[in-house]
Amino acid sequence: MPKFEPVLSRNWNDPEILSVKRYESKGGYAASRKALTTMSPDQVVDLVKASELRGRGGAGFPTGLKWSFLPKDRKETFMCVNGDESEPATFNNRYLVEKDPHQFIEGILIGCFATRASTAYVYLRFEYIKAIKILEQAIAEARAAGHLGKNIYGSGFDLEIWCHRGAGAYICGEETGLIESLEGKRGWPRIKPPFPAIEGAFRKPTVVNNIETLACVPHIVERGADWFKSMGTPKSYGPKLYTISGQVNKQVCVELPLGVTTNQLIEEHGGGVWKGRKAKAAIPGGISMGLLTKDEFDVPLDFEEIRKTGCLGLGTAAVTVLDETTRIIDYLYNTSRFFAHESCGQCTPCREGTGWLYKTIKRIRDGGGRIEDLDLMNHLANNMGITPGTTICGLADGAAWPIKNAIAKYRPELEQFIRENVNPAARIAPVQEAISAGRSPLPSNTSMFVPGIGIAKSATS
Amino acid sequence: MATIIIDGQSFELPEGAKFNAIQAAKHFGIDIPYYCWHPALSVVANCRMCEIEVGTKDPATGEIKMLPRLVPGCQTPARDGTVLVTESAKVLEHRKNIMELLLINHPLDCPVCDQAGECGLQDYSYEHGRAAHRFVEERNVKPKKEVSDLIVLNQDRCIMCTRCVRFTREIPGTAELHVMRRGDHGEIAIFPDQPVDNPLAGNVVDLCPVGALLDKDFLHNQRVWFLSKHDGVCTGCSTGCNISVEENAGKVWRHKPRHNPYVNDYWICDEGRYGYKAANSPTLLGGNYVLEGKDHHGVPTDRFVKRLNETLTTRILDKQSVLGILSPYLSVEEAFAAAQWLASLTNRVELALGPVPVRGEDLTFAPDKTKGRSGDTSFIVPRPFTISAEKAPNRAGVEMMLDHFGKGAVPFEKALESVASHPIVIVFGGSPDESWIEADQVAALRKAEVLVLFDTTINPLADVADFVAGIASFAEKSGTYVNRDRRLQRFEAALPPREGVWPLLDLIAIVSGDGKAPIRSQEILKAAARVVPGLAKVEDGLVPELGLNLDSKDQPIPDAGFQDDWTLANVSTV
Amino acid sequence: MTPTTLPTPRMIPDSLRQKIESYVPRYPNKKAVTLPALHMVHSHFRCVPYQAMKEIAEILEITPAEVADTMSFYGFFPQAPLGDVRVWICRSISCMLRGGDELLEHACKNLNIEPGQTTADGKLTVEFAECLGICDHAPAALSDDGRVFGPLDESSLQKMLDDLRKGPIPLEEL
Repeated sequence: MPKFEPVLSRNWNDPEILSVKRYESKGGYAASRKALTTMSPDQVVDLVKASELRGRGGAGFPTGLKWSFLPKDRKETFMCVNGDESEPATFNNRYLVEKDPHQFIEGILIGCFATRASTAYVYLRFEYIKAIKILEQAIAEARAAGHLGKNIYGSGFDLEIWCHRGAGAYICGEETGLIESLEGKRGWPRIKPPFPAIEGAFRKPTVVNNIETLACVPHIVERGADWFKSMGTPKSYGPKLYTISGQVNKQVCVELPLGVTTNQLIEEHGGGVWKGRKAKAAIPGGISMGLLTKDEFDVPLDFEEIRKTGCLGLGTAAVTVLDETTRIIDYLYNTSRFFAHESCGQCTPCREGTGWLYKTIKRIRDGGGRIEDLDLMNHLANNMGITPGTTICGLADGAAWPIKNAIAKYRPELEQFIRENVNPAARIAPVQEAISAGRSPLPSNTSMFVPGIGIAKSATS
Repeated sequence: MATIIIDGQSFELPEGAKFNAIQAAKHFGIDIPYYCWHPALSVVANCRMCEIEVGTKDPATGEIKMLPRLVPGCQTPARDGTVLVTESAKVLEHRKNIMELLLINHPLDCPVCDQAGECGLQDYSYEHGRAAHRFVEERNVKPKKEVSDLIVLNQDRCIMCTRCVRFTREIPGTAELHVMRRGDHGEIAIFPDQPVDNPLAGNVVDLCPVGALLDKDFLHNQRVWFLSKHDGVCTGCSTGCNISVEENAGKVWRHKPRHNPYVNDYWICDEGRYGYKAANSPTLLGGNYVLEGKDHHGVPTDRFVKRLNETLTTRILDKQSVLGILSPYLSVEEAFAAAQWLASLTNRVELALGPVPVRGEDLTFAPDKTKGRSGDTSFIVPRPFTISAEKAPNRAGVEMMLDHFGKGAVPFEKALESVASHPIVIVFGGSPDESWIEADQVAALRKAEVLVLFDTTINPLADVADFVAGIASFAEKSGTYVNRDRRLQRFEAALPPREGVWPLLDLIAIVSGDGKAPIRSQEILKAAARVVPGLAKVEDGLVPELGLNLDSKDQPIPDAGFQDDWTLANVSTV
Repeated sequence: MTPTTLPTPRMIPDSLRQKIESYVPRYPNKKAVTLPALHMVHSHFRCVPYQAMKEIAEILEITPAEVADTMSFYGFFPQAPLGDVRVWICRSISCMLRGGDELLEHACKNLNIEPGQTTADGKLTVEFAECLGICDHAPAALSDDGRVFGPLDESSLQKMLDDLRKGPIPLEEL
């Protein structure tokens, strides 16, 4: 394999790249000019299809295919760029916007040309204050330089890009939640069908693409599909931004071909596990994914292989490392607290389930756990999400997966924790315990009045 | 023909039907439980109660392919080849789970909850839930609040189905209700000092499948299982909304809407909802009265009828003419019987229409589908709802009788001018509003030598009439009305006539000596249909459940008759 | 709706109102300006009072309840006014693994407040955050003027709090 040469991050060490002139001088906006002036939109779609570029936002859906779902006879199309990036431990999109905004704008331009969208909304989470400032500046410069606006490059194609700030809701990273939020509503995901390609933002055909996905597009246009497919593993091609954080020495964002392993990331880029400790586990791509045990650290981090480990998927390729001293219960406490806080509250299983799981895990952590709580949590987790079909979106899958996965992989540790950490103050109330065990909550010598029967039985059963 | 397979059995979908799985299954007698879905509101699929297994049958090979996951029935269109499995172990287990989740923060306060007996949580717990729940953590406790002067919201009982929120946004378009916060801290709320204030507000109480939104007017008045429900038609305006009149112990306690896609869809307005109060009014006439000197004296019906007939006979032999006034509150049958009797008295009779109250302008709520959520909601058919400015139920029906027996609908004002030439004036009232007649109109009528009034309330005209007969109120009579769209609709009596009072049909039969009480209104309608051309369609006296358009043929509505489980819950009465 | 129909006294000044209206052409309908409008009102008042929500509703031709629906969904818009600087200390996975929860506790104890509260002198509001997207700085904090802090330990946390109490920095200096 030839030595990997970074493309997405190639300009990150150049602080001048924020200016459109500098970006142009390094060959920037050549791909967009090529696409707009020498190719038809369908040719661009076909090229991206041929590259087998898969969405970098988490689900890994083929981008070209997504674009081809748009109705042929559409009059108006919207592009929504998903920069909500709210999956914990993920920050690669922020790097892309802060460190090379024009590459991203060029990606939007080509993506919009391919999908014939003349308005693009970049939905950025509000926390990215600096990134928003940089992006708005870059959009203004790109517009002044003729890369945006009316009749771009004389091609007849018009495009306006608007930044739309989020306001602190994880669910707005779900594509239909994002659309609802863009429309000025609460970010409650929509039922599908219809998919956004048919009826999306403002009831018009809409494409929702992740920032990194679009950032790949100029390079594909410039260098071709074969170049793109020369990197990565089967069905997972191209470069990918991995982030490494947690209990490692260096927390970084690094561009590598898809399919790198956790071990490589920790050792070659993360500077090893911190404090001279050993790793215990790692989250492969944001906390929704579950855990890789240290025995699974050699599994390629791509769209396909990772699923064989019982993790939900590659997710956002945000690798978080847990060292050997970290307790699984603390990790579960953290993930369940996150999802209880972020559940949008629309579907019953997720709204009630995430809160229930958090309360139970908190009780176990406080020393009030019961072994049967693990089975109960497993049952709850198995019945929430898109996978069993009980919710509209995948948030519940993400909430359930770490729990299912941890119980499958670390049950002995969890059981041991429950046995060894007993705090009477944290235990459930005796009345609750009795009810859940199917016993009467009353003292054994109490008679119960049963309507219609009278004083019928003593509560000893 | 489109064929759908439900639980292994094939059914033919009706022509032109656009059903979802819930409607289709119900059409064939199979219940799929649901909360958040409503046939007139956008589909959100958030309660997840209606989930079933869904698949398709390949028309060529006959092979059935099932989706690997559960799918909400509410968002599943019923098409040719759709396969539904509603009773598999997987589905039943799922329902148990959902019931458990919906109840984890729900208080166990059914004994003090007004919804008990018609509650979606009670019904489905019993049918689909599990006996003991496994939730042992601390509950979230949410507050009780008022969302209007008449509606209380018990947030602790709410299941966040958002029916109420969607209703205010999509039907009246006033959007007073909203969801506050998110996750399991979400609540239904109003903006401070902006209560739910629209003419259809009360419908949110009907829509609420649980005891969260309750009507303060009804609160703690009656246990619903003591109520008997009677199919009624609202008399508040000429729309003729189909209602359920619910009574116990001689009183009407509430009105609820009954679904009729040709008239009111699933709704009623608040005026009609609280119009039930007139049925219990203390100002209802309690018998028959004759004016002697300055005072009215109550007389038994037989003596009243004898004296009335003596007076009329004498004067009519004297060739005195009669002015008959028929109020738009009379039923078709009452108007027919009254007009027929008047015509039988003498050929010197003039018929006129009583005052037709009109207030403001027609108010139409045209649902805006774009206000709802997106989705394949072709099976959602929100229909416009109109509150008519004409505040009487049967002008059209009474006019048919005036046309047939008289010289058309002589307006009330014109009739007043001709009192001078008619020594005998006989007025048939029936308005629940005692101020239906104004002082100058009373004075004009009082110029008659003999003034006879059949009416329900103690009102200014009753104060001066020579003969006053109390008749059955709107809640005490059966019959038909013809609404603004010339739809003939049947209503049933909810209460027996009050002590000392006869239904008008019986009273006319006694007065005219024509037939023997009790008179069945259906027989009168049959008789009317034989002679009144406009009624030819009901020659058998039978009126279909959703009424009958007298002029044109109804467009068939495939989803007609889908009664939402929670708008008008079926309560088993004691 | 014309400005004269607004109830008096109006809270949103004309300049801000025009700024909100300038966003209308960006979207196919006015309702979509809800979030931008809330952000603009928030940066002006450092909170979104009910009266402001009513006025946003009037500008965007929706009901105040719809504005409240949207606003209350998101974590960003506080009901009570904030301190001069608002700082989020992250407690999500990468930060938690490196002591984020303890730092949040430490900061609050130090300032004698609970998470979500403002110091008595009104200078600083401390809140927890569910992932700030700055995990390369974990355990990290973000102030609402855009400054990023981390990796934090107890002493750098203290320095951060001292810095923040000096007040916000302008956006140009970011």
